[in-house]
Amino acid sequence: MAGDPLQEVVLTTKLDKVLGWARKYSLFQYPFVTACCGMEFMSTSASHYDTDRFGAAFPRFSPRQADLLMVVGTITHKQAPILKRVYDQMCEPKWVVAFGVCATSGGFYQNYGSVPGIDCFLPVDMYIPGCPPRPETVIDALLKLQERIQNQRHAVL
Amino acid sequence: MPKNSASPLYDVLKPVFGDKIEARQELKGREALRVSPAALLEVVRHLKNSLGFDFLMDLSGADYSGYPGHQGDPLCVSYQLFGATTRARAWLKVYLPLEGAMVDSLSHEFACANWYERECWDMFGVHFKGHPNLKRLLLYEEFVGHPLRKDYPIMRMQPLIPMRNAVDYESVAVARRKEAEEASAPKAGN
Repeated sequence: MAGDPLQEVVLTTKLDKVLGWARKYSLFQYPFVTACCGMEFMSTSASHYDTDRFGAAFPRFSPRQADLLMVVGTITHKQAPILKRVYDQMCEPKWVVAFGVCATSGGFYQNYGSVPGIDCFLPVDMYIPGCPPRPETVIDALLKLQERIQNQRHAVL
Repeated sequence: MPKNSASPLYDVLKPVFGDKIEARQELKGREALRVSPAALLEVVRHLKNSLGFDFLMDLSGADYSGYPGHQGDPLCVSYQLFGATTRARAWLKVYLPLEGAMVDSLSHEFACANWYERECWDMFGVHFKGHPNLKRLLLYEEFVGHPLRKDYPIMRMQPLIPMRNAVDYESVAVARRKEAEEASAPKAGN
């Protein structure tokens, strides 16, 4: 509408889009680090690769303050109830990333001890392959996750 | 025993303990002594108090069921001792039956044996008599069986929480083995 003074100062959009935009750039992650993938996770979050550039770096060590659960490393059957509890403590909305093959599928562990992939008891949004994954792979997954967050529905009560 | 003695431990111990030292094995230039399970504590005390073996370096289990050429009881507990002043090593082995495997605990001689023996109990189900706190070290209390024994199904998992989408690897493994057996079995009539 030409000549509408509101057009100069107001941006119209959808609520879903605004919330998606806000949430994808303020991912607070809870790193659940159990194994060697942790080293790669550290190098990815530290200054060389710096996931902070994508608004997805701030680690919270309380699940209650986090909305992205990074499961980094092998999950054993002994560990599984702990991880489930951490997930249950997180507030909605929340996302889960399986970092590395062990979290994704159990990796080369196929025995009495290991969970064959955390998707056996958690809903996983993004799987990152690799043993361990390269930082570029992790960043790619983060960007894809952000894209998904941007485009998903954000229910508002 | 003189310092840096080259005389094999077998020759030192055999005159003292006689039949309690059951056999002598050689592996890659090192001698292992097969000791009667009932005499283990006695032999270890002698090694520690008279021969200067003051350090239990390692204690490990093994299941020799179905191992080519193995005779006798399948479950093995192997002890590595070291003398800090003599710089000598001793390697003892005891063999135990699968059912009711029991041997004396060394935890009162060497404090570090405490966790080694708990791990060995956890993985192989060897009962260490006289252990002050013989419970699982690595696995959870709810776990049934001892996973490193050969008779434990290799793919059996015992989850603590419900698992969905999980492949039942145990059934897969059983089916594959059956298929392989059928394929290799001579067909009737041929």
